[in-house]
Amino acid sequence: MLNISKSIRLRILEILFKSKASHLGTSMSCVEILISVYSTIDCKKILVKAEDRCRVLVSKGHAAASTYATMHHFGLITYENLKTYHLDNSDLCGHVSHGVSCVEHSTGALGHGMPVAVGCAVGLKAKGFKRARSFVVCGDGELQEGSIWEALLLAGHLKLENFCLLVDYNKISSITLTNNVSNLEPLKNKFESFSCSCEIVDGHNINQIKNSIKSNMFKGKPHVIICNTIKGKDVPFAENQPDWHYKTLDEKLFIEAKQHLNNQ
Amino acid sequence: MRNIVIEKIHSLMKKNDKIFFLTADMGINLVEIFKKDYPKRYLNVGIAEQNLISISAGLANLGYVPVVYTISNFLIHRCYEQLRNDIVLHNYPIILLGTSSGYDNAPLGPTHHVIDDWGHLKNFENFEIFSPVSNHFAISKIEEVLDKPRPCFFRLAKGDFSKIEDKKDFYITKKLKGDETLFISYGNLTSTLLKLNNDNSRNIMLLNKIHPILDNTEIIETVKRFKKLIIVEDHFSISGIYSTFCIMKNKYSLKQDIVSFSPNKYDLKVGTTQEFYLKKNKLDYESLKKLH
Repeated sequence: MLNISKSIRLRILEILFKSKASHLGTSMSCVEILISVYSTIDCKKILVKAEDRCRVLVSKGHAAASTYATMHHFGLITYENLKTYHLDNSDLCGHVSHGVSCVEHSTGALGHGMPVAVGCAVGLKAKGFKRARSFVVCGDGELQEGSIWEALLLAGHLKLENFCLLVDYNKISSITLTNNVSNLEPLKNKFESFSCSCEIVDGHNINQIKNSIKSNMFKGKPHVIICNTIKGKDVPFAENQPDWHYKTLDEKLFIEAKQHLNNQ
Repeated sequence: MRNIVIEKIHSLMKKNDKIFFLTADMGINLVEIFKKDYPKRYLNVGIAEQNLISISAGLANLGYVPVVYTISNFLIHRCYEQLRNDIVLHNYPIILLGTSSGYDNAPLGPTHHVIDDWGHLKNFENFEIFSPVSNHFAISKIEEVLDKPRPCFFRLAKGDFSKIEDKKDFYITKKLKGDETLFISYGNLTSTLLKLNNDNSRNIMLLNKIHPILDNTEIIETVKRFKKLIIVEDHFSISGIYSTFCIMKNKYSLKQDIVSFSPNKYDLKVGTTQEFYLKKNKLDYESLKKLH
């Protein structure tokens, strides 16, 4: 499984360098979260747009490079399409877009994917799709949006056991440390007080994330997984550096980052 | 009008299993029938209007047609980004039902005066806006949009809307003189305008559909017959139908003078009735009857 992470990170570096796009840090922190979700569900149903497919929403829409690279790995986006990321006339813009086939919902303004995913969970339940689940990936900075808590309050009240929130807890929001701006802690207690089950896992350990998904869904309440991650993971010069939310790769740094990954 | 629209939607839910009714904890003694008869297709999201719209988007993703009910002052402004990003951008069908329009909530203060709501929606492509002047139009249009779902807003006013039986997008007085002045209005001001024409001396156009109307050839050809258009609305003119008719004038080289009567600011003073504010803004019967 580690090779999957490495392969996807290399793809992310490739498309970010080619397009001179930003959001490297956030893209690297959620790689294993996205792998865990897509490897848990039946991607063939997404490909054929089956009505009873699981819904996956990436609410932190600025993680588009990561989302698209992971979707490519799981056969949901072709390489030819992936290569156009952030380039003129491409469908793959810098925030997750439903203009791309197999993407459920466009995101980019934070705090939207979460309530939409709750709506999907309500709809899946109303239609009687008992095995289908609704997943949403949120950033930790995004948790400062009020709409997140509106949606979670209702999800807990409705006991949406088919709903799973994964928090990419990389501890950095936009320009600084998340908890220096508006402290989220004690975060697990907050989720539990909203009538959700909650586990804290190593967000770069695919087995831990998948186990948490598998053993806590359909257990009578929504499930939240706090994934402790590192912003800029496996790109040494970008790890835990807020400015790599915005900076772009030049050729020297691109080669340096690739070499580091290849040597792992 | 609110009640007959709700009854119509409830009756359609039996044969149309795509309809999903949502409220943000509004509609006492009104919406309970949905919970009773269709519990799987009814959701009260609580006092959480942003949630109301985004959850509707999720339901639309599943193929449902969300019918979303609350009072207009909470339905548009609070949820503007949710409407833009989660509904309009995805071209999801959604039917917004907003009550308490204009000065319907007169004494409740400016937060509940809905005089700048639907104009915001004009920015959204593919969004249709209705402010019915006729009960017949309202229920007929509800049936149509549930049959062919698309994003739309029904601005439902309080008052008597039983007098006009037309189901067309607009109603005109039967004997249009076609030489002097045409009054144009919609929604809440219907009764006032009809009263103005009691002696059949005025030319009146009442719009059931208020957006988009810019390229409506029937409206354009009708207004061309007059020298002057007096636009009367309980909504800021800069984003109301006054602005639409000004753009129409420019686009189609119309010669008509266009005059606007509308509120132009929020009002902090208490008025116990709608009439209080209509009078202040020269939208009441006595003020309008002086106009020619």
